[in-house]
Amino acid sequence: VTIAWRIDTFDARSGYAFTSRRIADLDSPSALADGIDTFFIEAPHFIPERVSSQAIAFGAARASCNAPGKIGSALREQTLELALFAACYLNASDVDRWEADNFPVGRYWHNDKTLEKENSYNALSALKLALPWIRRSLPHYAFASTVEEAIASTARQERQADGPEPIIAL
Amino acid sequence: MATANGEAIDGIVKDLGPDPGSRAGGGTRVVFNMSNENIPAFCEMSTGAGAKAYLNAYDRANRTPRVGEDPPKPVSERRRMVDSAIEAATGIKPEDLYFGAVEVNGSGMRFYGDYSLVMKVSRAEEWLLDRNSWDVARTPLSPKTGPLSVTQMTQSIRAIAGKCAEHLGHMLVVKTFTSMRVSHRRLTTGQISNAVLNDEDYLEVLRVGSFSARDVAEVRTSATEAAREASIADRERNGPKPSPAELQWRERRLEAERALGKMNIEVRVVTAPGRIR
Repeated sequence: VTIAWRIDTFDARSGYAFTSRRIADLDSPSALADGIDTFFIEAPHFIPERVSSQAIAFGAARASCNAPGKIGSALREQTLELALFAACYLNASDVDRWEADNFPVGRYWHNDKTLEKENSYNALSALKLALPWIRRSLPHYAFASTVEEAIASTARQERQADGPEPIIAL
Repeated sequence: MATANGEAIDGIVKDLGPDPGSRAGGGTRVVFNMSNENIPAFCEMSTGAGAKAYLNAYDRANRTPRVGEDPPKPVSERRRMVDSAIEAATGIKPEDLYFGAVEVNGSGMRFYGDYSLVMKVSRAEEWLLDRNSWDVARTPLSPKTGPLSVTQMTQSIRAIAGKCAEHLGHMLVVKTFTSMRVSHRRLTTGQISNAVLNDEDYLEVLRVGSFSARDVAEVRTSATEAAREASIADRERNGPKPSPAELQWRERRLEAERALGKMNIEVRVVTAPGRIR
């Protein structure tokens, strides 16, 4: 049973997410135990704010936010969701006006139409493209080290699977 | 003084204006918060008779996926349990249930959106809960050990539920008096307003049926968000350059307000409740 920072509810396009430090299975009573740290994150600054209860997080799922779950099926670690959430916010619009260096994910996920057409996006690849931006923009994340660990773990897996060249330079 | 303060709260609930049949600024309203991203779609879906523009979790379970997500999932089992308990206590079917908040003169629940949609009418027969309905699935209202049960949740819902016409005044008096010291001084409208909806703490409205932009009297946004938006615009002109996320956020707010303008809905900047006041 791995305890990590995980998203409770999110609306990537609106830039809202609630995250708590818990086990993955939200149906387990221990995922809802008292005293679990819960944070609210919102665009455009993505600075985590502590909230008093997960109830406020689950309440978000009644309207625009999504129920808990993985953002992309390619994710190997749920903790990647946190970083990917911020990247998702940026990719969900017309990105041509931004410089490529500032906006790596947009090149990969252009818009809804592309997603619907191809239906084959790879969340992990998008995250790799977004990594420089995430590192530059989100150094204040309370759970940054957890995200970094997950990325490092994924990079190790990639190296083992694909050969000696590191895919992500950490 | 407690009696006088109780009457002041009752006056805010009744919200009588200076002219016969008019309303005063600073009366109770039913609000639904929505993000800038969702406002244009809400306005677009508001055209046509009987438009159902505001969607609940059950409506959303049947829609197409959004960027970055897997196909919509069914409503969670825990949410269904809470909704079943609400149905048992109030008779409202889960699919017809839309959750709002009671607000006075602020900008609603910022955690659920930077724009607060203020309803034209609050229905007398509407049900209220004195807190977030999810609280019945959490301690101390839920058992500390053992599985959750709809029966137990129903009991909890009955203990915190009331009707808008009959109980709103009483609920606000209790909420205000328990959140601030009742002294020998009169409570001001601002103090009462802060007690009604403060940060994460609010009264939940159980609205039956969806609504569209035509049901919205005005839209409010907080002074904090407006200042943030203006700061981004200023930095775009004069530097230092805002981040892509900031530019995108501001652009979406502009789009949201353009969409509301087309629907002839006014956007007002007001004070925000809670930590970003």
